[in-house]
Amino acid sequence: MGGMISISGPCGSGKTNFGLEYLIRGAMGGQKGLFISTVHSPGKLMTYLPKLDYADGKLFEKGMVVLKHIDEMGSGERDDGKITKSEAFAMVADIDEAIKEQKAARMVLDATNPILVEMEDWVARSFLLSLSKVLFDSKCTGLLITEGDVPDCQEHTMSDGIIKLGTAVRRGDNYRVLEVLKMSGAGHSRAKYVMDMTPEGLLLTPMLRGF
Amino acid sequence: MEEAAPQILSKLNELGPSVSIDFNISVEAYFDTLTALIDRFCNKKKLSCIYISVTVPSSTINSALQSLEIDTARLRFVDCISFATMECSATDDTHTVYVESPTMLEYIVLKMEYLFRKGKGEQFMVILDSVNSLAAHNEVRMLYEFMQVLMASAKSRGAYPVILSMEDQMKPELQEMLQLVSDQIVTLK
Repeated sequence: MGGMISISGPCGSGKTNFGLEYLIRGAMGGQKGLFISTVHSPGKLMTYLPKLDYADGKLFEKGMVVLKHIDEMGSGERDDGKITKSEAFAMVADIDEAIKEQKAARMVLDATNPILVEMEDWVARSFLLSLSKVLFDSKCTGLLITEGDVPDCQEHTMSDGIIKLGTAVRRGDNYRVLEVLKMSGAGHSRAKYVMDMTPEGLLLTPMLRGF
Repeated sequence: MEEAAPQILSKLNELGPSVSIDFNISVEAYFDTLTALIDRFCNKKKLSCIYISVTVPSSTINSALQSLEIDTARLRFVDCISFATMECSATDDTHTVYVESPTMLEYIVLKMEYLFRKGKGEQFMVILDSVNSLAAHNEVRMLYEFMQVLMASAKSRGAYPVILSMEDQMKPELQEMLQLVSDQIVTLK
C-alpha cells in the first residue's frame, strides 16, 4: 500500500483500460478509487469505458470510483506555458486532498506526459517526489500512466514498480504484450505476457517461445 | 462408422473430465464424431462446449449441426479461420469469439479462458478441431508448447479436453507430439 507504479506503453497498448480495471477491481473489493485524467474530461472518459461483464456498472454511480480532470487540480496558472514549482506543488496538494476526500486506496494519473512536458526537469522531479510521498503517507497505491516507450524517464526512476505494455511481432502477427520490469519488495515474473482485453477483463498468458 | 459413437461415449465416460483425449479419425467419420461429442455427450450431460475451429469456419459447423437438428445452445466457438477466409462479419452472435489467425496461438488460450470465465459455474468440454490444421500453420515445437498450455488450462478447469486428429494427415513429428500432450489416443476405425 502506498506505492507509485509506472505503466508505460505506446498508443493503443491498453494503458487506460489497465488503469480503469485496476480501480474497478479494487472497488469490487471495497477499495475506493480515484482516476485523474490529464487528457479527457470525466464525461468523455465514461464513453471510453469498456463493456465489462464482471463489474457492477453502478460502481461509478455509487462513488466507489471517481473520475476527475487535472484542470480541477492546482490554480491552472502557467508562466509562459510552463507549470512552475509552486503550481506543481499546488497540484500535488489538491491531489492529496482528493485522495483524502475520496478515502482512495487506489489512484490513477492518466497520463503524466501532458503535465510533465510543461515542467522543467527539476520541477517535474520535485512533482513526482512529492506525489510519491503523498501516496505513501495516505497508503494509496498510484498508477502513473506514461505515453510512449521511454525506458529511463523520470517516472520510471522514481517509481516503486514499472509495468511495460507494448506490441510484439511474431511472423507478421501483432501481439499486445505486458512485462513487469520492476516491483520493489516483491517477487515478480520477468516473462513477457500476451494480453487480451475482454469483457471479462484483461487476460494474460505467457508468450510462447517455441524453444 | 456406426461404431464410432459408442467408442467415443464409452471412452469419455470411462476417463471422465480433466483427461486429454486425442480422437484419431478418418475424414468420413468427421460429422459422426461431432454428433457424438456435441449431441450425444455434451447435450446429454448438459455440458457447455468450447469448440476451437481451425479447419472449418464456425458458421459452417453451426449450420451443419442445426441441419442435423442438434441443439447448439451450449456451443461456444473460438473461430480461428473465419478472419483468414473473410467470413467474419460484424455480428451480435455472443457464442463466437474470433482469433485473427491460427498462428496467434496465445490468443486461442486467452479466448478459451474468456469463455470459461463467461460461463462461470458451467462444466465444459473443449474440442480442438483439428491439430492437423493447426500444424499446417505452426511449427511443431511451438505447437507442442501451445498444446501443453491449452490442455493444462482445460484440465485445471475440470473440462473434458478433446483433440481431433485426422488419420490420413498425420506426420511422424505430429504423432510424437500428440503422444506427449494426450493422456489417451483413441484411433476410431
